[in-house]
Order: sequence, then C-alpha cells, then structure tokens
Amino acid sequence: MARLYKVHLEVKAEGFVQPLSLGLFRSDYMIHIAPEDPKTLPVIHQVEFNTIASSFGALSTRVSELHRHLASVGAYPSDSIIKTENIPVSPALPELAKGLAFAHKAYGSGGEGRPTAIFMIIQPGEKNVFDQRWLEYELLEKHGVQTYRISLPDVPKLTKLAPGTRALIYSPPHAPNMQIEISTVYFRAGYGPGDYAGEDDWAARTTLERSKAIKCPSVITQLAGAKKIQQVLAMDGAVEEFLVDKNVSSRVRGTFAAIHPLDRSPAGMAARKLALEKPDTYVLKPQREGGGNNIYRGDIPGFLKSIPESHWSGYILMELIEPPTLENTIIRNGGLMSGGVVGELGVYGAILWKDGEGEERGKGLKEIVMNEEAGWLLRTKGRQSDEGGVAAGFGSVDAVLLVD
Amino acid sequence: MDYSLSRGLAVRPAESFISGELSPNGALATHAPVTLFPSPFPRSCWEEGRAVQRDYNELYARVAGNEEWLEKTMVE
Repeated sequence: MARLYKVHLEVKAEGFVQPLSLGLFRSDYMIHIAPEDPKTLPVIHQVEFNTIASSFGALSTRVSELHRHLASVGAYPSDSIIKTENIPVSPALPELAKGLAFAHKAYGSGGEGRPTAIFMIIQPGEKNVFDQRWLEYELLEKHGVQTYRISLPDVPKLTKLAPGTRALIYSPPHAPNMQIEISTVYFRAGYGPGDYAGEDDWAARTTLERSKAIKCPSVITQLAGAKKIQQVLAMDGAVEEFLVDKNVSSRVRGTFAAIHPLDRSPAGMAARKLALEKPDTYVLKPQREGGGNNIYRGDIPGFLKSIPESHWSGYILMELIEPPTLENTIIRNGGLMSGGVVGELGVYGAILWKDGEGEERGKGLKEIVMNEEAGWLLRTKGRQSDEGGVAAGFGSVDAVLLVD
Repeated sequence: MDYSLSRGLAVRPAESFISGELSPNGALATHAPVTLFPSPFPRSCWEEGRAVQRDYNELYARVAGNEEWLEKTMVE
C-alpha cells in the first residue's frame, strides 16, 4: 500500500499526461436476514468492493447460459421452479468488453499514424485464463479492438514511452520493428504484494502509470479500494461527502452492514453498551490494518474487559452478515460435492471519468464520461459450519435463479 | 462438463489436479468449478444490487479523485 502510494506520488510530481481513468469495478454482497426478525424481507449487505482485476465476468455469462441450457433440455425435475425465464443471462462479458472498448475509443488515435491496442496485464501461470480470453475475443470480434497480453516483467523489455507525449509504445516479440500505441492498460494482475517480485516490477508499474495510456485502474483508484477506505466510508457522514444527493447516498448506505465507532461520542457510547450486553450479532474489528484479530460474538465482552478502556476507541463494532444456507451440488475437477452452501452476489460496473489537469489533479473528479452497470456474478461456496458436505471455502461459479 | 468445455466455461487445471508434466505446454484445460443447479436468489435483492451499482461507480471514482481525503484516511 505504502509502496503503491509512492508510485502515485512519483508520477504526480512529474505530472500526469492522461486525464481519463477507467474503472471496471465489482461490488460483492451477501444476503442478510435480520436474526432478530427472520420474517423481514432479505436485504443485501456489502462484503467488499473491488477496484482492480475484478474477475469471473465472462464465466458468469457462460454459467448462466449453462443453467439455462440444462433447464431447456429438461435436466431439472419438471415440477421444480428452475425455468429458463427465471435464469437471466448475466451480460458481464459483453458489458465489460464494451467498457474497455469505450475507453479505447476515448483515447483517440495513435501519434505518427501508429495503430492502437489494449494491454491486458496478466500474472505468469494464470489459471483463470479463459475468463480473460473471452474478453479479448469479444473486443476483437464485436469492437475490432486488438488486445495484447503482457506480464509486468515483460513491460520494460517490450515497451517504451515516446519522448514528450509519453505514449506507451509496444513492439511485439514476433515483430520487433512494429510500433503499437497502447490506449488502455487493463490490470488482471498487480493487485497483491505477491505480484511484485522486486524493483523491476515496481518500475514496470511506474512506467505504465506515467504513460499516456488510460489505466484500468490507476494506482490511486486501486488504493481507493483498500479495506480501510471501505471501513471509513461505512462510518456516518463519509459517503455523504462524496454523493451529495441524499437519495443516492442513502441508497448506497442501505447496502452497508451497520458499523459503529467505540469512541466516547454518543454513538460510540451506545455501541459500547451493545458490545457488552448484546454482542451475539456483531464482530469487533481493530481499526488499523494489521492491528490484531477480529473478535466475534460472545467473545467481545470478555475481550473488551481484558484491555484498558482507553484502547476501546481503536476498535469498531460491525454487524455480522447472516446469510441463509442453501443446498446445492458443486462440480469441481470432475467430482460432485453436495451440501450446505452460501452465495455471494457480485455486481460489475464500468465507469470512465476525467480528473482535473495540472494543479487541479486530485482535487475532485471533473466529469463522468460513461457510467454503466455491467452484469453480475454469483459465487457459491461450502458453508463453514457444514461438516462432511462441501468443503468450506470451496468456491464455484453459479447463476441466479430469481425467486419472489 | 461437456457443455462447459464446449462453451469455454473452463480453467487451466490446478497443479494438485493435473501436474505440469501431464500438461505439456499447457495443453490441458478442465471445466470451471460450477454448481449443478442455479441457486435461488431473491429478485428484490438482485434488483437492488444492480440498481445501486452506478452510484457505487461514482462514489469510488470520486474517492479516487479526492487525494486529500484519501491520504488523510490512509495515514490515520
């Protein structure tokens, strides 16, 4: 995180040459059923927000097609609720490709007559490669846009920045004399510390950030997705700073799990009472990254009493998401496993925006050029408490069967 | 599994499933982990998640565009 921020500050000191940024985001939710009143309507509570390398878009489209296929050939019992009309196809594949193509077009033409193309930054040895390939094919076949896959270590070997304009110029290994100008850099790697083996990889990231290409995401956008930021946004007043329309901010806030400070403010004092007397639906989280473990439910009062009261304000109290358990069968590596599962809905979004230029950079977004919802994903995994069934955390892609 | 492979609902196999030696030059692929049945999901929840996405896009774009706030929040 600190290292990433350093990259941003370095480039900022030099000055950015590209005011446009592309975000292909994914917001992940679980269904929450209020434990104190199981009869209330289920709602969604956000688990996390991804600002970089949001994956499984193409596979989410394909798995909804798979389940529709099975429904239409009569693979499910005829008296079941599984009908094609209740299984919408997730448009994530075409929509994410459309987002990339939009940025590509917004970039404009290459300098000195150079052809333009998109970069996909990939991890060496990636297993989820077909999810990425579908995006490439969609870009080429529907939008006439070529994509080149490249890993961070190959960036310095195969690219250079044009003097002056800092256009990112790529020469493919099979045609070293060719010059292709990269319009958009789409990261499917570079999100974790493990993606940066050493200084060369950081230098590669810095080169990409300095370049004129539109980044998906920029370093600062990646940082905006940090866990800590998400936690702070959930506090009272934070979202409202950014989304001034009250209807909009309250709709966003409606998807947050309740989160309370434990300081000496009136809200904090009320939360302290909750934590000590009714902790069963809460988790206690340290506010600083690396500040210790989460404390769950009944362990909270004892833990709080074991530390000095002056330290309590370093923690927040968050409502646990209580998802319903479903039964399903996961097929993995040719094997079947049946049992209790929980699902997580991810909703994709595509947005292209313009930041201020020069001194105005970083002082507030200037213009939203494109903003779309871009399909969804259901990921289903074995439930933790389930013994002997689907192993906990065993993930699979799934389609939504809409029920009223 | 046939449908998955025919339609590219696929992944490269994990080393623990098919070792690299058995897949020369990455010749092998397998179906992606999938559920056999689509999972029931409340329509209202699905609609809500989709409806709020453009607001979320804007929120995070605005957060990324406000460096002073980001820096203050990260340093805390």
